[in-house]
Formats: sequence, structure tokens, C-alpha cells
Amino acid sequence: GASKEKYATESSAMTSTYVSFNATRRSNARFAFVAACALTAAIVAGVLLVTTEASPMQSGIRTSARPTMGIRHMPGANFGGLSRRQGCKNANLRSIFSSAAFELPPLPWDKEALKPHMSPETIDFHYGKHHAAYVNKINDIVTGTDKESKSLTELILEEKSGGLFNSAAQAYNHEFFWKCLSPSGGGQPSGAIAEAITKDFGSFEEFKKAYDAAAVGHFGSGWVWLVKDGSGKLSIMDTHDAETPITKGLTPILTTDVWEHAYYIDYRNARPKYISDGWWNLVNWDFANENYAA
Amino acid sequence: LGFGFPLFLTILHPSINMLSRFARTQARRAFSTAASLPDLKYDYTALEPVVSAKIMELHHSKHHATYVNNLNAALESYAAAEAKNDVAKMIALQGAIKFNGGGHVNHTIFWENLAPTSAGGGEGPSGDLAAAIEAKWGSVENFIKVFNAKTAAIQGSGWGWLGYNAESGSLDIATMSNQDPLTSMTPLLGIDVWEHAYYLDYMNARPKYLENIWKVVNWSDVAARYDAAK
Repeated sequence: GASKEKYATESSAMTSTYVSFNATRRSNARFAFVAACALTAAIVAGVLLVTTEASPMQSGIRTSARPTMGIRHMPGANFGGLSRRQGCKNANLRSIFSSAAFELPPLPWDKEALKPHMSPETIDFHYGKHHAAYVNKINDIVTGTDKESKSLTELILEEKSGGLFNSAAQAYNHEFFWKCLSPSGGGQPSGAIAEAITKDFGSFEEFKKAYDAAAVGHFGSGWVWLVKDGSGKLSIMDTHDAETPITKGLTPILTTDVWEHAYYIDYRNARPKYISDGWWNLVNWDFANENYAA
Repeated sequence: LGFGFPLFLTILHPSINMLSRFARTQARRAFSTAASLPDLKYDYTALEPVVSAKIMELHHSKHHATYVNNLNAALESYAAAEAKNDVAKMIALQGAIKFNGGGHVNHTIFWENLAPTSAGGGEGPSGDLAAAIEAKWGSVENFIKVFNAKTAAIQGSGWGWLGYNAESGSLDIATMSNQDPLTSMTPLLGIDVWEHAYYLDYMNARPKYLENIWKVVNWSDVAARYDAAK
């Protein structure tokens, strides 16, 4: 009776000891695991801190909702910090360990998504080669100089011309352009931009006619833009080669790339067809509204 | 009236035809400086693999043809404006004449600057031209290196040129943007670096296109232009 009890107690004690011993082992293991995690986290945080401390963390094209970290040089030009190291939450291994000041920003959509208006092959070359080359060129020029910590917008507004301006402006223009395209784009605008277009052009048809004329009529390489001035008035302008409206204090609303590389693979020499079938079927009115509200 | 008039027209028809054809010829003669698309001296396939038939056909029958058509339209409008003494209109047309006229002038030279290897394309310069190139750049190889570097660096669309500077009596390399024709010197050799000139074969690799184009450069044409310019 009693021995049975004792045995039971002992065995339960043993069980509990066994349990507590295993618990200790488990908790040791758990402790070790937690400690290892903490240590790794500390190392990662330390590396992040050390490698990114020197430069302001700025993310891609800004919308009105986000502060521009003091890069506001001109009214409406709140596009500071384009293509800088992606924001903290987007930091990846490449940005942790790369020493490049500027990075090729990710596309807003999958390269297959714009078919049939713009082919994945065009995206591969236009984004993967042309846009990438501009970003690489900037890095080649600024790395190791005090320009390394400048934003794209600063480089554009300060350089004004020359090789670095061309590369920075083209990097800006292309980043803006990708956002002007959307797989769910096209059709008629709505919202504030639609009202503004009617107000400043008479009608959407009048606006489209003027935009088409500028796009098709632009001779040589360049871009067509819908821009807003300081008073909020919309207008269409075309720029040559790398030129960009922010140098004139204008706010870009939409742009279409009319360099031949933008349409040659899909439309050959038929730029009008690229505009009618490509551009007007992809135009991202949401992005236009965002820019108009900024 | 129902019978006579149609009969009258039927008899007169050939004369009316002749008259309108005559009028059109006269009109054409009035624009005797009207541009026309020159034929190539070789097939579209002849410059492969350096420049594909795909590019040659588009480049010649679409791009160059468009410059010719647009130039003629601009010149017609210009003549009409001139007849009315509408100077503002004449000025407004300058851009179109420069773009399209330049395009026509430049491409006309370009097609003759190139030749298939079977017709001497790529066979390096000789005689006076070679001597002049070597005197200025040390060697043909170095000339090509310098030419390619300057031409590759053109922002956007344009042309690289070897020209003869009559004032100094020397050869020079020049780059022009868009279709601006080379007017400060006598153009001897032009290389088109608008993207349409190479994109389908070389994509964005303009330097690779420039490396290869020399394999089909018609040096005897360049030399002939040099002799004429001197």
C-alpha cells in the first residue's frame, strides 16, 4: 500500500524529474535558439545600421502622402529620392551588401502583364537594358564622390546638362514612365484629372488629339508629357532626348517615351500605332490623379 | 443634250487626259528639285550579317521613304507660301524641311557609303585617303576607335561623320544630332546611329553595331568623295 504509494510518488517524481529534466533540456534548446536568433538579429541590425547610416533612406517616387525628406527644391517637384536605396522595409541582401548609390527600381507589374500592347521582350530590353544602363552609368560617375548621397532629383536640377544629367534624367523619366502604364489602364480618365482635362483642353478628345500630335510629331528621341504648372493648369509638352519638365518647375502628370527603342520591337517605325494601340490602352489614370493631387 | 454632250466628252476625253498629264508634268517640273527615293545598288540582304535585310528594308523603304515624302510635302507648302509671300509660313516650315531634307540627304550618302563585302565593302582605304587618315590619326584602326567613341556617345539620335574641312584642308570627325546635315565640312562618310539603324540586330548595343559596320563600309566611295572635295 504505502510502498505502492511511495513508488507511485517516486515514479511520479521520477516522471516529473524526467519531465523537468527534459523540460530543462528543451528549455535549454529553446533558450539557445532564442539567443541565436537574437544574436543574428543584432548582427543584421548592426550591418544595416553601419551600411546605411551615411545616406538618407528614401524610397521610390513619392506620392503626396509621404514626406520628401527635404528635397523639395521647386514647387510641385516632390519627387525627391527616386531610386535611392529602397526604404528600410524593402532592404534586401543586395541593398545591404551592395555599394551602389542608386538601384534599378522594381517594375510596378509583371513584364507579361502589358501584352499585347507592349511585349515582354520590349520590357526586357527597355527596362532590363536601357533603364538599367542609365542607373549603372549614374553609379559609375557618382560612386566615391560627394554626389553619391544626392537624390535623382537633386542630380537633375544641379547638373542641368552633360553625361550625369542625361543618365539621371533618363533614370527619372523611365521610372516615371513605368508607373504611367498599367495592365488595367487605358480608356477614359475619371476623377480630378478628367475634370482638369476638360477644363484646360475643352474635352478629352481635344486633349487626346493634341497629345497625339505632340507624340507623333516629335522629331528624334524624346518624351511627350502632360504637365501641371504652379497654378494647377495642365499643358502638353514634348522634350528632347533626356530633357524633363522638372527642370522647368513643372509637375509631370503623365509621360510617353518616344525614343525608337520604346516601340521598335513591337511597332517597328509605326510610332502612331504605338501611341494609339500601345499608349492609349495602357495609360494609368490612377497615377495621373495621384500626380495631379500632389 | 443627253446624247451630244456625253459624245462630245468621249471624243474629247483623251485630250483632257493629255492636258491633265501635261499639267501634272509641268507641275512636277516646277518642283524639279522634288526629292525621290534613290534605289540601293545592292539587295536588302547584301549587307548581312552586319546589317540584316529586315533592317535594310525598313530603313530604306519606310524611314528614308518617309523623309522623301514629307520633304516633298514641305517643299510644296513652302513654294505655295513663297508665292503668296507668306514669310511666317515659310519660317514655320523650316523645321520640317530641315528634319526631312536632312534625313533624305544623309541617307542618300549612307547607302552609297556602304557596300556588300563581295563589292569591296570593308576593304580598307588606300591611296591619298589612307595617307590622310594615317597622318591625322596614326592609323586607320585608331581613326575607327576615335570615330566609334565619339559616335557611340551621341545622346539620342544622330550621325557620326568623317568630313573634309576645305578651310584647313584636313579630315575631321564630327557628330550631328537628329537629321541635321553636315554643312560645316564636305561629308565623306556617315554612320547612322538612330536606333532604327541597328535596333533589330543589335538592340541597345550601339557600340557593337559600330564595331561591325566597318565590315561593310565602301571605302572606294569615301575616297571618291574625298578626291572630289579636295
